[in-house]
Amino acid sequence: MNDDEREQLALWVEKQLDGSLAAEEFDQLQQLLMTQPEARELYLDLMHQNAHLQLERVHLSAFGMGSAVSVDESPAPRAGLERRHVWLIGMIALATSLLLMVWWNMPSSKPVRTSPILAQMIDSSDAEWGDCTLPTAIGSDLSSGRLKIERGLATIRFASGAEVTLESPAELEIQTSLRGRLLAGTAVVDVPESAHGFTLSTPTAVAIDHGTAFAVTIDRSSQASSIEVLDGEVEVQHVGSDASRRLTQKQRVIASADGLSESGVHRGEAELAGSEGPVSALAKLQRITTADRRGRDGWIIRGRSDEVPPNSRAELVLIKNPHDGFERFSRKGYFAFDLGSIRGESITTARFVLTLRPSGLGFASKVGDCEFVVYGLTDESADDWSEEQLNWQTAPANVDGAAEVDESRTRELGRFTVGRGRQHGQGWIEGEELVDFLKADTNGVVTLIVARATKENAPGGLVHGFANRSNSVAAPPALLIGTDPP
Amino acid sequence: MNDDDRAEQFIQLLAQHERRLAAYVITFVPRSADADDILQETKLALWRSFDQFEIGTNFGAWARQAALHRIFDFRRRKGRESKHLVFSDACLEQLADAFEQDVHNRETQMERLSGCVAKLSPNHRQILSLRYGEELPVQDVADRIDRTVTATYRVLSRIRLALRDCVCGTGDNVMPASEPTP
Repeated sequence: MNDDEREQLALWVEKQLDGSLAAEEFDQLQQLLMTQPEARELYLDLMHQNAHLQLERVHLSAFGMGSAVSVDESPAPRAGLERRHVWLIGMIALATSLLLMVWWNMPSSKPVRTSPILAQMIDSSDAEWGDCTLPTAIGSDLSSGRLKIERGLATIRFASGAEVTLESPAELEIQTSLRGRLLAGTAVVDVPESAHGFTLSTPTAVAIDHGTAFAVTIDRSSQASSIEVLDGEVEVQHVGSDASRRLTQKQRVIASADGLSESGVHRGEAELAGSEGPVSALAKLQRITTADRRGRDGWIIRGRSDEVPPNSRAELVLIKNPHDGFERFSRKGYFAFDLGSIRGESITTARFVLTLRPSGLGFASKVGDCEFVVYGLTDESADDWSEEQLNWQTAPANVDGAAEVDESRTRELGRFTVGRGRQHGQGWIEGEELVDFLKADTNGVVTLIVARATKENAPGGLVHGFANRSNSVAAPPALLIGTDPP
Repeated sequence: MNDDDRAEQFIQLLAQHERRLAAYVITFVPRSADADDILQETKLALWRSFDQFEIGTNFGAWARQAALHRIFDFRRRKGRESKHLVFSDACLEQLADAFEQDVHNRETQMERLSGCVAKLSPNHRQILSLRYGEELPVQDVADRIDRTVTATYRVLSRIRLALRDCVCGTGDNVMPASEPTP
């Protein structure tokens, strides 16, 4: 076969896969396959390659992240099948593993669910996942299995109503709707009435909830667990001895291999697994998104000054700093948060988080690492901007430069960088500038403006997309705020 | 051997071969939902006749044989139902024979696939990602990358050929030839 024939065959394959191969083309293809062994080989190679590409779509969706993500194809090993009803158990195990395998390997087909749904992934801020035996997309139903988070936060709501927020690096095993096992890292557990009795075990302890909220941290080196009650009451049993404690609010125990010991909750005393950022899992975190109350989000583009971008349709806030001569494509994002839910509380820590989503606009290769600047709008009279009327002219404190805003009405709160080509994961800022800005608020609403400081190297570069408040799959723009109670 | 040992053995063998078996079925029946049905039927049939399988012989070949029966059935059904363009039995047999003759090589090559995908240019990876990661039809891929449908077919088919050369080890460069940048 010469090059032209190879290309022709590949083109037919392409059309066949897309369902657009015409009848005559089909006849020609069949004729070719039946008469030329070489054509058969090429056809099979391409179709077999397609099969693997279909099966490995996870690899592809992770492009740009450096390393490829692999799909775990084998079912979780089953413990030995025991004594009575072995046959029945065997059949159930078989059915489950068959279905699990089908589901893993054929992500595009409708999943057939037989294993019970025990929990749901409700948020995964900045989550980068390690080896997981469960799906990790927001909204995914979770059966029993393990989740390992390498970066960021993730919140899992068990079917009982208990919510577990994992702070990376952490690993959680979902066992039943009322039972989970923390294998590493930190988990903050929030338990409503319906889930009293929710149990979180660690290598050294079992914590049974009788109240509303507690935090568990496993120390990386010693494997000791710290269990702290944030609110309500928790029973802690030591693994390996009969020791148990009932803890109430603000109490904490450390469960080492040897036993339980009490520990103060204040920092500086027996600090376990020192938290890395100012946002500690042990602080009481409140999450406010642009979807809450008077929250809003939107983006503006210079070229279409009189139009409002179709924000609700795109589910994204688009941000771009274009190449010289292409200024009409400048885009900035606007985010308003309603701070009413934390009125009267004293803010101690804050983080502003955006979730990256592929925008489908422009090529990632034409921009390098991109730095984004977050400004706070200090002119509070402009906080009441409307999503419908937001445009280049009306947007508060907007000026023509793609990376600039009116300095007299704003102040810079921080910068974050998105690595070259990255379109997943999260960007965030945190620190005193943001805390001070939030504290200075007087009208209960704050506006943040995000612009890209980095210009693209060539026209046609990537437009960065961030999930907005109506995004159906990814987390909305959020403020994670730690407060001291009033 | 008692029944539960047998079940465990089956599950183990199936787990080992599951992915390759899935790829085999999709090679002949690319539509996921159809392939899924065929795979399920095949696995159940394998389990039902697992008594006849001799441990130590080639499970993969045995499983492919069972799958092929169902692929034939499916395609005949499909051809009757919807005037679908379906290869004749003779053609499918030739293809299945050819696959079987070189099965080992073909499966080994696919182990290199993700490495070859990683070597593609970012633009081409993005196109593949739209087609496979987001499962867009070619029309939608074309819209997203702002090209004509014809051009998109061409780019995609060239990416395929480049990947094929790469996994076969005949091309050290995975840049499709004469591919214009968007």
